[in-house]
Amino acid sequence: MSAREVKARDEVLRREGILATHVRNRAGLNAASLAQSYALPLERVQQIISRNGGSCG
Amino acid sequence: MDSSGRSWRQVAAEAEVSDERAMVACYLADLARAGKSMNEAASLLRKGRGEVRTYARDWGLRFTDYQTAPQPLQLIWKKPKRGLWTLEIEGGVIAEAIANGGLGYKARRIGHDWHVGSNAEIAMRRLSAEMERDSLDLFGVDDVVISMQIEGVGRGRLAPTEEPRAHRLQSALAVSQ
Repeated sequence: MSAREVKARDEVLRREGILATHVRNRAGLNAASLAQSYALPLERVQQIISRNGGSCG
Repeated sequence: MDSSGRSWRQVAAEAEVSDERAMVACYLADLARAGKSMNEAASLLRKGRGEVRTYARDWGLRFTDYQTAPQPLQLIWKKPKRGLWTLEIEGGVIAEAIANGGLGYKARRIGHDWHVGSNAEIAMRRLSAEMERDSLDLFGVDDVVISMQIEGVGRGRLAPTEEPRAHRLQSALAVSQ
């Protein structure tokens, strides 16, 4: 994996971490908007929400 | 409204705000005390959550699903080059502001409509206000502070607007209850 790829992967992980903190136990979240804001795939956002006790509205 | 007329009039006088603003604050304080959530309060008032959140912050109200975060999510507009400002979350650009062909600036969330302004700060402020209002949908968090990096000065806050007299408002509401 190139240095650039490693950096990109780390950035994705950081965004996922921030998102996970923010959505913890939150109800009625808009997964599509969050996917756009955090530049993450919708499916991944939905996983992060449900794993952290949140739900989509 | 179970706070009596006298109560909101007292709050309006003490805090020196409009009757309407005092009435809404008293009503929200009653709902918060009755254990309603911010979403329920917003729906009863037919206002958006963002607007109710502004009241909650200014007047120190807590709802079952909202307590002011001590550390809001900080988002900072930066200027990577002349004529361009960007707003990022950990390396991902979520919004941009660009020079609008000699007619000031325009700012947008990536993939959404432009907000125009006679300069970069005004365009970014308009967009930032909208993003702050929709913060729960956009960031998964209620409390967000959006600023711009100003060379040699630090940060200039764009949204939400701070209520400079929040302490006074909170005291007025506390006294009347």
